[in-house]
Amino acid sequence: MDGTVAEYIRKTVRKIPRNEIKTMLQKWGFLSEKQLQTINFHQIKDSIAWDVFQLCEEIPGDIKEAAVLDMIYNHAYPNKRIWKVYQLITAGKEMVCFDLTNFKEKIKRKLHSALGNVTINFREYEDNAVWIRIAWGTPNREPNQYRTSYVVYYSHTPYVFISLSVYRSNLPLLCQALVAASDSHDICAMELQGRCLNSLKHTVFKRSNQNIQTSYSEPLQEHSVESESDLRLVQENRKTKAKIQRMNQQLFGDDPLPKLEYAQYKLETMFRSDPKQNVLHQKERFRCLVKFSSPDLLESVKSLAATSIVDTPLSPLLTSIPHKPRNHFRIKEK
Amino acid sequence: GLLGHLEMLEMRAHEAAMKQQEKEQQEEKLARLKARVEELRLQRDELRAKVDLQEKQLEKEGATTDPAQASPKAVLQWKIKSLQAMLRVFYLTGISGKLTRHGTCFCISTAYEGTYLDSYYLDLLTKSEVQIYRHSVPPFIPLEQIAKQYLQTDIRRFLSVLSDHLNAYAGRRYQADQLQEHFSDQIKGTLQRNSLCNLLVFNYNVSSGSKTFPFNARLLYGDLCRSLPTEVIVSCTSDAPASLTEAATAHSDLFRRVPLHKAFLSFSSAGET
Repeated sequence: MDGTVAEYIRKTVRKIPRNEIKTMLQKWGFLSEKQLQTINFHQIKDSIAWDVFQLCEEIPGDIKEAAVLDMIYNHAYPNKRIWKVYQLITAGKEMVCFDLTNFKEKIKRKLHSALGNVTINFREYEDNAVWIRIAWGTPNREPNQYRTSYVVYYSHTPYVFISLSVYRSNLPLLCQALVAASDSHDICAMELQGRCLNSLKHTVFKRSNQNIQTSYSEPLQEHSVESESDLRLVQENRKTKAKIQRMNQQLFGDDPLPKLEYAQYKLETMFRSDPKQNVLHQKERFRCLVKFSSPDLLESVKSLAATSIVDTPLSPLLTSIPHKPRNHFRIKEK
Repeated sequence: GLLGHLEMLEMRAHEAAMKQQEKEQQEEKLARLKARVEELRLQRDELRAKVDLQEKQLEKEGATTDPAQASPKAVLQWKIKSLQAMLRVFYLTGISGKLTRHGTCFCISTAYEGTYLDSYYLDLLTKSEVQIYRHSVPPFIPLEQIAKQYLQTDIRRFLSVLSDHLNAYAGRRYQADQLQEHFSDQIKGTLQRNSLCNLLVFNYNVSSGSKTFPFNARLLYGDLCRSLPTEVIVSCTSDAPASLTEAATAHSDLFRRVPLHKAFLSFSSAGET
């Protein structure tokens, strides 16, 4: 195997947490069980990576096989990348039959004819997701395996999740390829992005996996009033708290909220101040970007209201995030 | 010679000992089960006596009230029971529902050829206009389109169309799963399918005489409300004998009429593969 390819494998192995390395290598299937047994998986990660490098150097293989390991890693740890949601527009005619081979061929053809040097890998998963890994190159340059883009597509749905990495100039080409391959009319960005791919998926598919059971033996889910733990404690604002809880339940629903890392509001409004002060009043647009960040933004917004840190009712700009769904907003003049 | 004879005797003795041990174990087991039966009989008699006693007590108490005028509580209980039984009967039809705080929640159960498959839920709001609040329908089922067409005007039709889609999808998926599970030795390579399971492409082996020939089958299920394909193309390689091209057309016809796993079952029983 070429030294650069083995080096790529070594660097990929170094990214994997130590206790997962063995399972991922087994899933990859490139090294045989016998070869895996010769590696000591209890040493430090660097040494394990070097052992893998040396084993791989001896075996014939190309970059496409090495790329499979990268795909396995990214599928297991998708939150290391930022994913943006795009929507395919089909102009009415629905694609009745998704043909995977056809789809793959079209994408490969489009990208190869435009750029020549690209490494494209496809991998299908049980949940009907098609993962595409693309390493970009140009007619004069080899594909850069360290700056890859990933696309996750669910067939028969109009949603595509793209994690582009660095080469933004390739985005229009990628979009064109996806539109052509999926028999759609156009593609547009949904202004929704985040790190947690599963949350983005659930937001966009609006599918409740949790417990909307109509079991006939179970009673209706009542919102249980919290029982008094100690009779000496008196809740003073019980009514207000109940009202806030009801409002939260109405706004956010019962299901767990999707995990978004931030919401961004770009203001394109005019600055309004006291006209007497003559500070920018209505003269030009006030350029401002408001960004709310949190490890789990929607849950924190929900608890802000629940713990009465902010005045309720909450602004619909915040509460409409899961319903729209988007987390990039542009606020214009009314 | 002598040693061989001794070995044989040893073996016989060993076997006899084993048989004796087994017999003893079985007798033990039988004795245990008999004891258990006695225990349970005793319990049953006790409970029967209790029930008789309670009935006698109730008769004594209820002797003053008119037995024809059952208490309202009993009537209510009977009503609830019969409603629950009714709901259970409706559940067998595949579409069931119940009222919720803000509307109704429907459950569409799918089944294929006698096997119960997944259930999907739809939580509807019925305040001003009917809206889907939450659902567990998979994203590749065209729920929005069906809702746009029928939800506001005719809920029954909406549920019936959605149920058709879901049942057909469940049936197609069941056939593909069964094929992968039980006939994986006849399938060469992987079975290519998509999320709606409405396009299946696979290669399978057909033997003629002593040689096996690969056939390629492409099943297209054009109608999303049906679980049988609308278009089937079965092809074999050009070097296959003429009898096999006939078999290919026969297979193609079979796949169009019969569920996929049953078709493969008939292949193995007919001894073709």
